[in-house]
Amino acid sequence: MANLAGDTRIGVMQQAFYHFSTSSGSPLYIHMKTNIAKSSNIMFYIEAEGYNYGTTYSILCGWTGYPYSGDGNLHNVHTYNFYSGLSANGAYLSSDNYVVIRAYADSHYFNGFVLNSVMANPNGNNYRVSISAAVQTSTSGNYY
Amino acid sequence: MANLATPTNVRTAGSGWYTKYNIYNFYTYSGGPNYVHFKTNVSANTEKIFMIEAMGFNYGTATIIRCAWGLYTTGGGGVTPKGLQTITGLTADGVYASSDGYACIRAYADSLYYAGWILNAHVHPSYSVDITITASSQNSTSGNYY
Repeated sequence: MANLAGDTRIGVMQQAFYHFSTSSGSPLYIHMKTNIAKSSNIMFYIEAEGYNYGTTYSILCGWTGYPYSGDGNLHNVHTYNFYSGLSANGAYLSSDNYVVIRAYADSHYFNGFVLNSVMANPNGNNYRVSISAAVQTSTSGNYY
Repeated sequence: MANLATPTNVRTAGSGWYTKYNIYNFYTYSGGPNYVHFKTNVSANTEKIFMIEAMGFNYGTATIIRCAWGLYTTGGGGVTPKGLQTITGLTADGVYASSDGYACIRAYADSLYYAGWILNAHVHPSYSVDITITASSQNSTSGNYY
């Protein structure tokens, strides 16, 4: 059986390109700053997959969006929570101009998940996503 | 970072089921027409059970894409839906046998403007088959295209 390292790329799909875990139940928000720049026109789909022991639920949730060069804003953000262990809470542009995704849970006690991406759209097709910073915080708006 | 060839098979230990990630990447710039047909290499004249799922982003409707087609090829030339599941972004609209006898799936969205997704395949171990997509088309056909 192949035992692959994290961050496995299968064409336009990346699996486990980032791993977040915490043993602390709070604070309740997690912000993750990506390498997707403002005005880059990169359409993205990022999902979190894992297990939140604190809420006793599996994690599968996702974020999409489009940092449009025409006006510099982040367009067509959509979040969806397939399982209830973690909520895809929002996405925004950082003060230094990168896309940040925000997650929320009622507890993060021994929470852990990976991030996967599917960069399948015509704009940003096959772009390699990474996380440059992450923080567990009480900030419900913009942290970075 | 491992950079694997596309597509990649991942066989689940013990069960024999395998998942084949990213068997196809479809994207379009055009919001319409609203149907997308995919033709597989699975003959309707062989008995197979499998599922194909779509994952991606529909910019045109500003939604995540997640949907799945469960299929059973009867072995007698028929293709039967065994669960069409739509969660968001793209509708798993139907399955059928092409005129030359292969399993096809059909997707629908109100807009496909700058939509993109991958297809993953999950195959029952008793009916092992290496699934590929041999053709795709965005068109207005709500029935059988191939």
